[in-house]
Amino acid sequence: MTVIHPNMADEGAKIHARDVCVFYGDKKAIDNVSLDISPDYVTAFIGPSGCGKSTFLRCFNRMNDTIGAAKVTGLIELDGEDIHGPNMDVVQLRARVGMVFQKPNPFPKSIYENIAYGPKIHGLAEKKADLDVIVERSLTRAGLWDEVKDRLDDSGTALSGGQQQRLCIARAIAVDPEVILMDEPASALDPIATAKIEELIDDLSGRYAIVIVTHSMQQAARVSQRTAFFHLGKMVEYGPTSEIFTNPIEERTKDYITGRYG
Amino acid sequence: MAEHTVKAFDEDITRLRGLIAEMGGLAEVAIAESLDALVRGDEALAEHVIARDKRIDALETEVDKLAVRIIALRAPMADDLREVIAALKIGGVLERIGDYSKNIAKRVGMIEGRARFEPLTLLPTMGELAGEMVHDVLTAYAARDPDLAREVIATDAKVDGFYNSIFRNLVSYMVENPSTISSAAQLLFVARNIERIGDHATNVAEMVHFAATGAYPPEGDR
Amino acid sequence: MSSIPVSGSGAAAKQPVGPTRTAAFEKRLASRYRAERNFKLVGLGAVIFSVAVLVFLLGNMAVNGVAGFQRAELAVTIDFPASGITGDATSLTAPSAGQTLEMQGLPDVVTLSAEQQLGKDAAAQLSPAAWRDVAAALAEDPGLVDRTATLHLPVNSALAAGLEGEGSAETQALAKKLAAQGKLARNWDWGFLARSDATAPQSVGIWGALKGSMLTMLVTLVLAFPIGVLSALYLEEYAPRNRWTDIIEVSISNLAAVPSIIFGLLGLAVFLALFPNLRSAPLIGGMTLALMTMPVIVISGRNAIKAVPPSIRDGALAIGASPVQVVFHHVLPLALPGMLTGTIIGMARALGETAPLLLIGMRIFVATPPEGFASPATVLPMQIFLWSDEIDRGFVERTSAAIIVLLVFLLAMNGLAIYLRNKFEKRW
Repeated sequence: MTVIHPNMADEGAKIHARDVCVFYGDKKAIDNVSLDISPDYVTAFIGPSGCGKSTFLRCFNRMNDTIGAAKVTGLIELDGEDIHGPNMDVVQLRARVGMVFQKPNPFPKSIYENIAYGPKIHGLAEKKADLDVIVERSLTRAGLWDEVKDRLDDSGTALSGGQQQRLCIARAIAVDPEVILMDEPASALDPIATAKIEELIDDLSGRYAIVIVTHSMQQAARVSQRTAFFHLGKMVEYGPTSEIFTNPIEERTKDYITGRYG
Repeated sequence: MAEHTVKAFDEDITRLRGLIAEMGGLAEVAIAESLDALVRGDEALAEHVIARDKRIDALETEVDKLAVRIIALRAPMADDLREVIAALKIGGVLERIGDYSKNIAKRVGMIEGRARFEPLTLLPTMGELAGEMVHDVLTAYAARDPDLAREVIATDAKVDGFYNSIFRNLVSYMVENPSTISSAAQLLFVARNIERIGDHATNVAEMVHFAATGAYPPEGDR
Repeated sequence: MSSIPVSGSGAAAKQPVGPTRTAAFEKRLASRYRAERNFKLVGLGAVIFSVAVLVFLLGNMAVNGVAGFQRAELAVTIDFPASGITGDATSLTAPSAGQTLEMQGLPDVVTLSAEQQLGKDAAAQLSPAAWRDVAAALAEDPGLVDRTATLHLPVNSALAAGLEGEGSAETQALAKKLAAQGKLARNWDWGFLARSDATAPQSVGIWGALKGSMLTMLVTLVLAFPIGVLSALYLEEYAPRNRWTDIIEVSISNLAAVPSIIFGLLGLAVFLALFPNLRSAPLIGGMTLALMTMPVIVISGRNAIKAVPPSIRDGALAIGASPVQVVFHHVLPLALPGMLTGTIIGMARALGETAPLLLIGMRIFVATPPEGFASPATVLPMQIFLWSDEIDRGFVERTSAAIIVLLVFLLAMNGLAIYLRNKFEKRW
């Protein structure tokens, strides 16, 4: 039984999901989840390991397509367009819905090439001058420009973990997405780098719809305005973050966030 | 309610609740003993009450420290968080209740010729009622029972009623017996203290309700 | 994780510290150290042994082969204008120059000159193909035909052996006499690297086989590398995981283990049937060896592709790269070092293969270097095999010299591949 908190203002749905199920072979990983992602807020998915929050996140940019045994049913719409429909090109979808992964994965190229790759393959810029602009803008928005502007030709993998993750975020921003999906973006980072990422999420939330999966409830509490709690493939509760963490409605949610789970 | 996965968290919460329970018990005893001392003019008992108030103060400090540590180290959420905040506030309130009882005890030596005081017989009843409120609200706290808390809040009206009648009684007594004004005035203060104790018990009840349900009791109850 | 202490709680009583280094412990410690030391020594011993064997082999080869780069030569002065040999730049450098000069009587001129200067005995010891060297010298410098020149001409095996102190007593005495006169000496024979096969060991060269090997390797590389790499990419990235792909995977692994002579049979049956007049051509040889090398490239290519972390793929996919772009922009560059390693291994094996080429006829006697991919040729290992079969003693050193050339070629090829691999190696 899913509880969706009342009194959430009619925020419009950037991503609308209805009755989404994900099967890995015979195993049902996501069981009839319906929710709307607001364009104005940061939405957090929390839940214990294996509850399906990452799997559900990956439905939004059809990354589950890359896993042979995975099957997705149900409706997912981006701005009202069915993302599994015949008119939706997966490559285009992934440019509109960017993703940042748990372990920073910069390409083994230079910092400049890392950022410039996306715009190049999507035809957003051809000339070097245009690419320079995009690279600078993306790195500035990611809060990395000052640190790397003198060494854009250095390898992306030579940066520290926190810088690499910000590089990956800059890379995602460079193709001008509408939504950014983040799968536990700070779990591999130390507290200072984590704080910088959270600050960055704050900065970006005005411009992009952000969905973040996190296993740290404190992080979800700090960073998001809407929180959805997942348990065993079902969404149990979805509501404003402040209410979820001070006075949740569902017993299972309360048990999880107070540490009585398991 | 299920236990925390980290058992030490449960232990901390239990200790916090234990401290509150201990404070509450001492406060109850202080109310009863201070009024007993007042009625019988037992100055030794009054000294005892005054001395034991230090223990209540010490417990309040412990509650403060423990609550702050739990917040810093355990990052409590939802009902745990409300529980800790409530304990913090209740500790402060119980300490003030203890102070009122101490205040009553201090006035024991200032009252002369008590056998003649008719109003003196009303005070113990009022004090008992206030003591019951404190007892009930602590029971509600231990049981996390919002309904019992609301009943306690309702009882405050009676205590207020008592205060009003004692006030009128004493004023008319003072008018008839001007020589007893100084002692009667002390009794006025005692009555006021007991009425304040009732109000504070109501505060505690509100916190208990908040900790249990996440909301304060509706306005109509006050 | 203990409860938060509020007021000073005493620390738990400490356990008494007992002695840790008991006698039993010391014994175990000593035996552990001993085991580690022995392991290191055994390892070191294995390495030293391998290096020693390698040094011995290479040293042996070098010592024997050095002699192969030399030959015994007689200094003969030929007066060209007086000899009646005529020609000009065109006729002397033409491909048929040899035949022209032979018709003009160059062999006799050479023999006559030698007899005049060194005596009949010495002249008789000249290599029968000595005149070809004169023709080669004329082709190199046509102006020679108007002058008198002293040329160093090869002798036959008997006199060469005599110079070394072997053979009949007369030959030895003759050799000694000529050497004392300064007419007979062992010189460095750089022509060895420019000539092709011949009947006399003094006149053989390795260039024909070397060029044949180069052409064959080129064909092998051009065929095996792209097909192998693309097959590996398809099998790893696109092929569905089902029974058929499993069968293909097993088949490829087995192919890599098939004896090379089977590929020769295949080449004979298929390629020569298709192109019957290209027998012993580098094209056919290359195709056969490509068949043999491809499975190795596919297997190492697949492993290299499997080693590319999925995080790179995910990152590329998430940014909106199509599957083809992911493969060619990200996977292939990272897998290239591994693929090049597999290619090195495969090509090294192909370079040294003789058996499959036997069956397709590349064991012929080829006196001139191959002109193109379709002309008859032989390869280095085959040449070595053929020479080692010869009776003439002079061929022994030539064989060793040819082995040295083969090894140098192999090292050069490997060096190039290692350089390319290091250039593409990227850390991730």
